[in-house]
Amino acid sequence: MESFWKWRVIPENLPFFIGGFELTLTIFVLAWVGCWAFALVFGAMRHSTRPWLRYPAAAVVEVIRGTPGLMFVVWVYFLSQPLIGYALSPFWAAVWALVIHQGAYGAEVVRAGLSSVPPGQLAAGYSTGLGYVGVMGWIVLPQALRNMAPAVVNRSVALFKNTSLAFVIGVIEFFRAGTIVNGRENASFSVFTFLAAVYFVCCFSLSRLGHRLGQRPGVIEDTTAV
Amino acid sequence: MRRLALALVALVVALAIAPDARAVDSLLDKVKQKGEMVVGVKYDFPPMGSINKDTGQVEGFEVDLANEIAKELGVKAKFIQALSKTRIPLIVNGNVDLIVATMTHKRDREQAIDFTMHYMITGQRPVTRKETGITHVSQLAGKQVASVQGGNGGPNLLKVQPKAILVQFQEQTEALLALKQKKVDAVVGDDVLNQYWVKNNPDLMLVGKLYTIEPYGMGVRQNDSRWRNAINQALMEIWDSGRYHEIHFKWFGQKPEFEIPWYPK
Amino acid sequence: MVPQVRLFETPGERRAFVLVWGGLAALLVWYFFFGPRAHYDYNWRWPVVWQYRHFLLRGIATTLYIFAWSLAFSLVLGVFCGIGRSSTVRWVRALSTAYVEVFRNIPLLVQMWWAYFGLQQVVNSAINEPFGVRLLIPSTFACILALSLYTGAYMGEVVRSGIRSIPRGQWEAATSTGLSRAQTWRSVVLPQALVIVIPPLASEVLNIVKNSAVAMTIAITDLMFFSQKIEEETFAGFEAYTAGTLLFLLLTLLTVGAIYLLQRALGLKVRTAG
Repeated sequence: MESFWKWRVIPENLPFFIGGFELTLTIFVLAWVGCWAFALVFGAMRHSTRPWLRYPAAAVVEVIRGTPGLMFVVWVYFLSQPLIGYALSPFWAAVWALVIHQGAYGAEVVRAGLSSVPPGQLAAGYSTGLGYVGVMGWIVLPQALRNMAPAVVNRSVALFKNTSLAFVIGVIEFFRAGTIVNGRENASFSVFTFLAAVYFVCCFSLSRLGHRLGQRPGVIEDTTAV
Repeated sequence: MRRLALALVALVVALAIAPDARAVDSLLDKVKQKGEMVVGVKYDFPPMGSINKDTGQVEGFEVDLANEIAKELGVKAKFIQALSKTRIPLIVNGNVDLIVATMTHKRDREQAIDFTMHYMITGQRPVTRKETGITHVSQLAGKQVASVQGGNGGPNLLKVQPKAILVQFQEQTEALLALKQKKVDAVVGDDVLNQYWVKNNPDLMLVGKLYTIEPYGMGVRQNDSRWRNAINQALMEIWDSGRYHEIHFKWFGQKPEFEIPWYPK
Repeated sequence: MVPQVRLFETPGERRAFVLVWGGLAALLVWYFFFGPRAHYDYNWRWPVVWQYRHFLLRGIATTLYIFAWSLAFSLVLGVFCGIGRSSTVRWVRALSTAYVEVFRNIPLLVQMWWAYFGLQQVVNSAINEPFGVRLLIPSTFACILALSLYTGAYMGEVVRSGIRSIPRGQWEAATSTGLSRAQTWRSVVLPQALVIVIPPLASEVLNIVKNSAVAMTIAITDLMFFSQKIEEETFAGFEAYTAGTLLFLLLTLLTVGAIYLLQRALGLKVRTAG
């Protein structure tokens, strides 16, 4: 009987797993920065009182949110050349796809955060003589960011989970490293349990942090998936 | 508002004077200038290209061949993974300079890329577990057969056995895994891989005879004759000097039973 | 009379709109037709999509099949999980919390592959070999299992927040009129909670459609797989993937429409979620 444990597969291939995990972290950090830049821009546009900013931004965000993440990754990779005339490597295609896709979800978070600041604060800020930048920077954003914090962490957890989608286009991140080892050793149970455990530990610690941040009043709740 | 308009105008001007990224004459010049050639190889296809467990580096027949070609051209070879379904986009997009990834030279693939001369000829047939007792393709009617997305193993099987049910995975290793876990009754693939699997897995056996001819060609960018000629000539040099035979012996334990389409100087 | 939507409040705004979006549109047109991208001779082959429509239809059928089964299972799981998390019995609460935390923090991809390959290995060793049977885990079963467990965890959270939003006064009033705990759940709390959570549940339902695209990686021939297959056969990548994306959007819109109709049928005021 073939044992389904085969735990020794993990320590034997540990350097390979670690290499994949490093790549996952790299993708995560790069995509995180880009995703929230995108989210800030589009969230602010969606929150704006000017309809000519609001409606186009809403259209873009809703269309992107309506497509699967995997489809986006494949789309950006295969079609970067015809679309923008520049060929993206699988790594950068994955990063950009995650930036745009998760950024659209982040835009919703930013919008909710900006809406959570009472409008009286803006009026009070303007009445003390501050300009738009001053009001935004000193009054609105600090409060909005505090309120958004747990939702931001939730989104970041979702971003971390979605880095595994990059494996479809050949990026050797953590999940692909697992499937390569699994193909070689035929130890599906141990490899995938190991992958699940590592992802769980990372995401759970992140979401614990979010939970800690969410224990303050005025915080918006974001339980959306993906 | 004025600032925004100025920013837009500046962007337009910058794009207008930006150099055209596609104005490169031939990959040969670019590769020689950089001193490096980016090659896409398989990472899941022993003995052609697979990852060595101990070193974590990719190794195989195609890897050695690509390294020899790089030496002929006087550059270094850098390897990245090519899946069956990404190998053509990798060339079309310009992510790699050369694809050496068990790619059959097919006429319809010439729409998208160009091929060098073929460097190996193999065929396809199914592999199955000994216990299924399948000895001929006709017995695969109604059975589940695994293949890889993007490769032509699946479509070729359907031509000889239209009643087979295809189950298409991302990589060869998953297809083999499904076979071992008894989820599918056979895997179709190129014979080089089949022989390797049967040699290393005593519970597998080959089914019948080869029913296709698969000449492997290296993929290059379309309409780049200088680059393609350089690769072809490098291949012929490697054949003439006997290095091809050495590499073939190293990975297959025998001399090649075919000839590459060689032509004189 | 419906108030007229004023698009621009000041003439300056109209100018700004034209400048920004008109400028962006002009930039795109210039870039694609006159600038660096102009001489990329990509011959657009949109008729290919119509030629291969039977592929796309088969893909949609599979996606809908997975969607229907996952929806059913995840709703049931979600409701039970939400009730469990609000329970007063400690081990029930702990179990539900553990379920939610585990399945929300592992990527769906890992869960699906585990269900397809990992579980098969367990079944092979524990059942198939000792007893000589051949119990296979088909890919659709693995996909629906993983998708239901994953979405059920998120739905459990949503249901829990709905239950939490019912004021305590209702509980006390119910007990004071002589209703037992179970009756309170059935007649007072759950009907209100489930109606409240329809908008966030709707967004979870949409997520089922989108997450089902991942099923392509375990050899399920869904819409995503067939978009890719069209690209393989015709090399018309842009057209194939755009068609796939548009069809996914269409499925999303149809689901939103179905939920809207559901809300109307239940006689509720239609509310949209974030």
